[in-house]
Amino acid sequence: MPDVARLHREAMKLAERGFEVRRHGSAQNADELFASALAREREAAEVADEQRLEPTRSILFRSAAWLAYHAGQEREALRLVGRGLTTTTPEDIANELRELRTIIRVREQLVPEQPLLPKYYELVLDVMRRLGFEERLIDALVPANHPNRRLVEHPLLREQMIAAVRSQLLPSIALFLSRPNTRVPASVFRRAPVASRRPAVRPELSRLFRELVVAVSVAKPENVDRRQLRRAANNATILTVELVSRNIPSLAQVVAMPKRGLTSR
Amino acid sequence: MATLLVEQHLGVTVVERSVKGTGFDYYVGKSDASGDDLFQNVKRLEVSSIIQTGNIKGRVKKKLAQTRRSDNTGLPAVVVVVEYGPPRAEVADHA
Repeated sequence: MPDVARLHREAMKLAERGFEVRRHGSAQNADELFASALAREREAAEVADEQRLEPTRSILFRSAAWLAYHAGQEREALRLVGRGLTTTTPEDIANELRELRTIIRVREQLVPEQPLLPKYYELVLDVMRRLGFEERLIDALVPANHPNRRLVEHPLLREQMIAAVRSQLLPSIALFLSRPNTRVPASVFRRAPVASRRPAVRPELSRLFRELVVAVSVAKPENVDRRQLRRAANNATILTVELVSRNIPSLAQVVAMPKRGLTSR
Repeated sequence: MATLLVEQHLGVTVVERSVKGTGFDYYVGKSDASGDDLFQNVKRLEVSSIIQTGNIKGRVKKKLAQTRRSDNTGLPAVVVVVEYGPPRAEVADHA
């Protein structure tokens, strides 16, 4: 019988490297590392399941489901969520599994399934760097008069946020540019906490995203239909706010909780 | 910081981790207790921090309430809240 502990620890080492690589902007390599980690964690979870070890089996299924999500295998992540949820699953782990299922379903509404073209990663990353996109996005969301402005001016925190913007938004922006006519349901927009609490930032976000779209268009005009690009720019605010609120918790907290101060787990 | 505090005050150390969200979830226990049963006799490490000076007791209470919410079927937890203003920290072991 496979060694659950050995498989799990190998998976965690690979996942750690995956997060590290993703922080430095190499999404494709990170996907491969997460896929390798997933294979091990899934096997460990299946063995724990056979042995009916609780809470070990639930924790391993939750972990495997998140690895599948990070590897871009969202169907597999949903399957693993289903495997993790049984009558013996501890309530807190069950809630976290359901939370992941919700995240995947909302994301599916935002971005239809389509293989991501690797060329867009490099292209968008390059354009983002030249525009100073990450820095300007943070400044737009937490402007000079924001109560938590001093937090984003802290060099360490700012560095982390730039890395978070890059690693979390880059794949979605690249995918969005490959399908610029993607529509965001109004119901999703209404639920986005940042959008509802700080509508004043929308024009700046829209302008920033338009700049990015135009810069991408100039960089690789043969890849992009200009009419579709205009449509993309018009939807940009909604998409950007939604992505920020959903994918960068640290930044979303700074923006949305001005009176309480920044908290992090 | 949280791992050092629980080692000092509760005599437990991080023995396992699992993936959750965009990082890891940590579990603490006796350093020699982790074998093939992985998460069987461990406690979840709940960490929180306050950058500005604030109500550290209130945050501990909130975190403990979160762990109590699932008392019947949930995992035991250790809560650590670090306040960076003074700085100071509060450790609560919720078995």
